[in-house]
Order: sequence, then structure tokens, then C-alpha cells
Amino acid sequence: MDITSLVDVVFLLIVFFLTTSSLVEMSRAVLDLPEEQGEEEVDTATPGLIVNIAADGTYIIENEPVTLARTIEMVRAEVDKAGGPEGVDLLLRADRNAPLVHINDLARRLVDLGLTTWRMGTQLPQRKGGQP
Amino acid sequence: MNMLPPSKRRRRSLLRAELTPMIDVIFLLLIYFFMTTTQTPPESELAPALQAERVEGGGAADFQPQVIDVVMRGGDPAYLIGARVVRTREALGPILEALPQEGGLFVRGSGDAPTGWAVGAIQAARDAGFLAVTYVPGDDNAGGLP
Repeated sequence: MDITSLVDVVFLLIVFFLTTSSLVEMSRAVLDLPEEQGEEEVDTATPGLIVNIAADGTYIIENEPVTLARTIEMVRAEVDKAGGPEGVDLLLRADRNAPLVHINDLARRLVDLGLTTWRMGTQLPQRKGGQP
Repeated sequence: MNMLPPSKRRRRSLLRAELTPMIDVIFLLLIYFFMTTTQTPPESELAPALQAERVEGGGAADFQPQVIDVVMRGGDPAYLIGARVVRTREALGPILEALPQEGGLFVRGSGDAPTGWAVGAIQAARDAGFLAVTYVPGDDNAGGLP
């Protein structure tokens, strides 16, 4: 019996799973995001910087916990790279249970840097009438 | 009677391939990858503008539009629209729909309120037809309004 096709299938399965598993962005921490529908037209562009805020208020960037000062440094680097705050595409992913004080601290410093637009991450509701 | 020499007989038996272990391996691989796959829920985004509240010379804030305050009241999160207290996200929608939408809406989050409630207010404003929704950092030392 010819087992070449069988070996092909095995390798194809391995390649498929390896490829699809790498599609998950490591910069997105596992958070319990607010369950909201979001904008009707979502900007599909990959954000320049993703800032995660965990339920305990920890800032997480690229899967590493960072201080607020370090977060602002990274945002400032993005502003410099983009040639101004208008070109910065920031995605804020905050846990639904995180106190707003952490978002407020970040927001004030973003405004100081000239940033007046951002995107806030939500997860699509699993059931109708998702409680915030 | 087998007329082949013993060496050739051995070679033929070596060339026989057993499919069962191969199928076992395939199923084991499938089970392994399915077990280790992380299910990530689909995400969406809200894009409110961002503005800080600055006090002008006269002591008044630099905007006087419609504002929803996200606060803690009696240990529970609530929305304040003027003197009106709204305790649920579902009740917010009809109230916002009744407001004029041209002037935009500001969502001001108190530091001790949960993020989910502020995002809920932004979503409710979008659903009500407000095109200009702005998030404003609120008082972080509120400690629960009376």
C-alpha cells in the first residue's frame, strides 16, 4: 500500500495547525473585555501599539507588565515614529472590571502628548443584552 | 512451496507497511492540537475621542455639553445624567435617544467605577445616534459620591 499520501496529509495537518496558531496576536493579553457590539464599521488596520490593562490595573504591553511611565515612553516613541500624534494608532484593551482610575491616568498623559483619538477593545456579546 | 531464497523473503516482509500506527499518530496529533488550541472570543472596537477636562480662568470647565458621569453610588456603579441616576445599562438607551444628538456627548469616568460601565455608556451613545462621543477622565478621588 502507498503511504505517501498519508504522510502528505500528516504534514499538511501539522503545517495547518502551526500556521493558524501563529495568527493569534501575542500582543493581546487574555482579558475579560466589556461585552459590547462596538462600531458598525471597525477599522481593520493593525494598531501601532496595543496597551492592555488587567483587572488589577496592571499595564501590559507585548505580554510584559510595564509601569505607566514605561507605557508613556512607548507611546512617545510611537508618536516620534509616526511624525506626530495624528499618525498614532493606539488600541486600548481594558478589562471590564479594571477601575477607571488606570484609564484616566493614561488618558491624561495621552492628551498631554497630543493624542486625542484611540480605540477601545470590546468583545462581541455572547448572549443578547450583555451586562457591562 | 516457496521457491524464493530466504534473503528475498525477508526483504519482502520488511517492505510491508502497517497503517494502524500511522492512523494512531494522526489522531493523536489532531487531539493534541485541538486540546492545546486556545479559543479567543471575537473582538470589536469603539473609537471615542479623548479629551482632558481643563479649568479655564473663570473656573468653569472648557465644555458645557451633555455629560454622562460614570460613578459609584452606594457601592454600586451608576450613570448620572444631570440629577438623574440610572442604575442599569439597559435604562440608559431610551434616555439618550430622547436627547438632541447634534452637540455630541461626553462620558466622564470616575476613578473608582469599573471600565465596563464607561464602555457601556459609549456604546449606548453610539447606538442612540451620537456621532461625537468623547471620553473625559473624571475625578479619581471621588471615593463614591453621596
